[in-house]
Amino acid sequence: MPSVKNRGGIGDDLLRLEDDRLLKGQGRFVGDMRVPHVLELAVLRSLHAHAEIVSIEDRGASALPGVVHVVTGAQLQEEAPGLFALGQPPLVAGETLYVGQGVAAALAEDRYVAEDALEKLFVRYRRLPVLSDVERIVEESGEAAVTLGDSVIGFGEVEPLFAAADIVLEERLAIGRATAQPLEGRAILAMPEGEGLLVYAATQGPHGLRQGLAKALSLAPELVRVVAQDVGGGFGVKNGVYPDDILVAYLALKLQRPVRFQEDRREHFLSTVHSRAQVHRIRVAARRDGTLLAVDDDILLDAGAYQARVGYGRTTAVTIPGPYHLSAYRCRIRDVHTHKVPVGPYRGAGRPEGNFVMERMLDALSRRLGIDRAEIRRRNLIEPHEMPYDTRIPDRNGNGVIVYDSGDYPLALETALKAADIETWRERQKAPLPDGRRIGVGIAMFTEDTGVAPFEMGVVDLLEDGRIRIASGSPAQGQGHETTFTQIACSALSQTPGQIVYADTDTALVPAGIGTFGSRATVMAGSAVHLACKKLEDMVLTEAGAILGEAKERLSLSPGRVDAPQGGLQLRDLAASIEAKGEHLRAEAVFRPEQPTYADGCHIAMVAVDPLTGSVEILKYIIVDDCGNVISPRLVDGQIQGGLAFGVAAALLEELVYDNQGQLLTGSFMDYPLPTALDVPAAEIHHLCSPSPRNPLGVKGVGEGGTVPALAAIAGAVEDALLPIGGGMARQLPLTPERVVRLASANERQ
Amino acid sequence: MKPASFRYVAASDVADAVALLTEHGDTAKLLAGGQSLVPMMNLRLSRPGVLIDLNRMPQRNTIAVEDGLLRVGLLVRQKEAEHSPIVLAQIPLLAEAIAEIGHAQIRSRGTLVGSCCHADPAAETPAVLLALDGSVRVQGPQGAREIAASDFFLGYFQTALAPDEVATDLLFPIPAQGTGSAFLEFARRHGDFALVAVAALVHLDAEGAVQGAALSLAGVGPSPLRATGAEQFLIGRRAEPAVLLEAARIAAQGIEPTDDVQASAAYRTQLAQTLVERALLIAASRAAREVA
Repeated sequence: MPSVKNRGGIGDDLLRLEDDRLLKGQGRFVGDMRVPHVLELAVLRSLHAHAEIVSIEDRGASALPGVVHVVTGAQLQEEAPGLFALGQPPLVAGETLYVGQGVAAALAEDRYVAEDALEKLFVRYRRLPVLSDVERIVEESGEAAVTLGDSVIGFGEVEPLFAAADIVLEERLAIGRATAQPLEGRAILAMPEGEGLLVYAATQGPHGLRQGLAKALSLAPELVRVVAQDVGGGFGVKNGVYPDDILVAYLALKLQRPVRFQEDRREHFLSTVHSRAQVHRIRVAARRDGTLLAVDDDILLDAGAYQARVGYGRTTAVTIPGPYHLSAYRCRIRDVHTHKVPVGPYRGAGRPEGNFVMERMLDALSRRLGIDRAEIRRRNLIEPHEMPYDTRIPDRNGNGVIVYDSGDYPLALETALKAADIETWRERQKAPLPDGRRIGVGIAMFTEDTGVAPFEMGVVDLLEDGRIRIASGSPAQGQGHETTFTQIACSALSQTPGQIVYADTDTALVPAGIGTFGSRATVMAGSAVHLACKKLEDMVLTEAGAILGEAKERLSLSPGRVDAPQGGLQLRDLAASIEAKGEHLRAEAVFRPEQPTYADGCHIAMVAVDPLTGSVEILKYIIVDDCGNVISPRLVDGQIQGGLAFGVAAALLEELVYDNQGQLLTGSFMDYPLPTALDVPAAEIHHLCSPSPRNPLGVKGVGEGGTVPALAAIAGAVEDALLPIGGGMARQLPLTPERVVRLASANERQ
Repeated sequence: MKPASFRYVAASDVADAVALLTEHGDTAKLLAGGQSLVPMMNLRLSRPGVLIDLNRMPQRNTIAVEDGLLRVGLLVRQKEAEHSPIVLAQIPLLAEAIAEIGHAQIRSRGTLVGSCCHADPAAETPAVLLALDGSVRVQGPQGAREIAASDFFLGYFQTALAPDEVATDLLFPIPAQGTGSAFLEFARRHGDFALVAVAALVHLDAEGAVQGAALSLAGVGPSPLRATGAEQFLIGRRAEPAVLLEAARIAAQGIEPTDDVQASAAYRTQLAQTLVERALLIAASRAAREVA
């Protein structure tokens, strides 16, 4: 165990403050809450991808002992049509649009009985034609294909550059459908309170959930209070409002009893948003010396049955140009309607896919031109003296243009190459290993927008006992906000961690907020907490100045104290005197930056590939990451290492495979492999530090940087291993053993 | 993922279990390690009316050598057999195969007998039992009988066990001196169900010629298969790489796997050939060491 030192301010290497509680089983998850008279919800989910519900017959479900309420979609629509006015309905009344969509629900005293009740509901379906394969849909329907979104972004004129280019490469590249698998499934508990609801939810965005529930139920938002306590992983899929959430809230209000829904793993596969699922037709124009000129991409995103709450296709599009100079860029994104689970963000939220296609095309260019993979990147990188760099890419909201804030991309590349000792590996890979496996090396660089979306709020209170409570609109799902935000508060207020109390995100405490996603919590909520702390410091010093008869400029804070040139006072005593006056010190601050921050880095993967079985072993993995100033070194490395696990999953393992009837074929962990500790190498992590000028802490997000370039780095390494034996280009993820075997014997000639 | 309601009864001994089976007929299920049954119950794919728990029975965890056979009792956990000095000394192939089963937590509960009765086509223990020409000892209302492995595994999750019978022991013949063996498995990750698994035994004579060979494959059909064509091809030939490769080709030609979401038939066939070749190479070199 490395030594843990220092006071606990920014940059100190603290152990995670929340782990003592979590490791002792003292976490407070929705499923742990003991609530008298709570009803557990079970949802009957459609067996067919596209079908009309002819009838649902109750053959004894309602009559089962312990069952309190049974409702079908049609009944719900009749009694509460308002619930059906917004997007995806809580239960289907007419046509089911994917396997797993709720058609009826049962409430019982426990989940066992609720599931028994579902078995006594008999649904007659009339099956309808199923849309499954996006390329086939577009091939058959062309521009008439139903899309849930269709947009083009870019800058400059690409066509003249393609016409004049020395080299034009075109490829079809695909990334499989996948989804996050948090240890804790979705969970929500709604309790009637007055005219409204108190809701405990495993959510990444309590305020968005509050707004969604209030809107669906036609309640004033202040009547819905949402609290996010401990949450067992989110990774993007626990954001927004699910149909089941609305159902729980509605039934709790209607029956005036607490109602809980705790998703199980089977329904997680069938009802929690999926992600990735992209097919790209990408063209790249370049000069013979390897200089990139233009990129033109056409993305088909298998969007599923309903409009995504957060469209990540545009995020893919703005990620593609990455750290490279381009003269023109064009990208069309079509969210194609299919009869599958709707899509949403998942660790990286479109960025890994964009990075994958761009980096793969650079590797293709390298192969075509005979220029080394590192060299072709080196020749195209944006230089540090160009910062801030106007990319000319419209931002995702179409409000402005993306301007990178800081970073030294060439240094990231050279640092990674040096750390990887790449020349030695190039030498080693000339011959196969004694067991016949081949060594490959993959390189991928990235930039990513971090700290996205409009604002975040920090709320900081001086408690009666002199400690300081911090809260924000960004709850934690395991990332360690308690540690990170405490360190920020310690630095802002010259305190030690014992003086700081971290509060859950509660809409009753924090009036407004956005949530935790898009590598934003430290950038956005961390900055908001910092600003609120600075406000509180001013308030505390003003109050203390009044008591001590000193100008506040002559006072300063130290752990538990206000120090004055002579004497000073305890924060505890100050707080007591303020409370005695019937007053309370609370500071609120909103952080609302103009632009996100842009993190960057470089990954290098060294793999061994068995061309006969298709097995891939990652032998060594180098990560150079620049997330600006580091608040909590251990947590930052943890985020990067954890992010890499998701990259390994996307590159080699996880895929939600559907058949042409819209049935999910990989609906359990037997068929949907997640990486285990044996599959994820311990990355060698190196940090660069280009502080962002766009927030008071100089930080950039780090939640997704471990994932974003890993797909391309690993795929590039596998391809590299197989090139000497006639292997082809790695175009499709995940690289399952079977796909690797096919790649090995592709016999592609360039 | 909550099981349907069921009655639980603990059997006091095998006779009691047989009586309970007779009483409850095919609504009853036997619970040994529960590593396959319980998940299937949670998914409601299996919904026994009565669960007969075998775990309370005394003296059913024997690993012993009797009359040239290794006998493994009905409550022997996979982990016990994996680390048993008797197994390691007499049939290292079995220990090697067990190490490929799931994860340590699963092996701590799962039983060898239970795995054979569950009869998953990708399972390791049935492939070893078949390669060794072993048998399953069962007890029913009419008394005990032995069923040869080649007659026991009938297809996907199907065995020759009658509804009122309890499998009490696995009997593994101990290979002759001069035999080398190897168990190789390929799965997406360590602990996953095998895409293909191969148990190979090669018995060499003093001159280095193959005197006997046994090859069984799991994951390539409805139940584990013996590659008899390849076995016969090897007899009398020297265990050289070219010969072993040809045997692997013959073995791969003899299987007819089907496509599934994890692997196409073509890929499984190629994998089978690769694994048979590699298993034979290892088994032959181990046999050569035995002979020398």
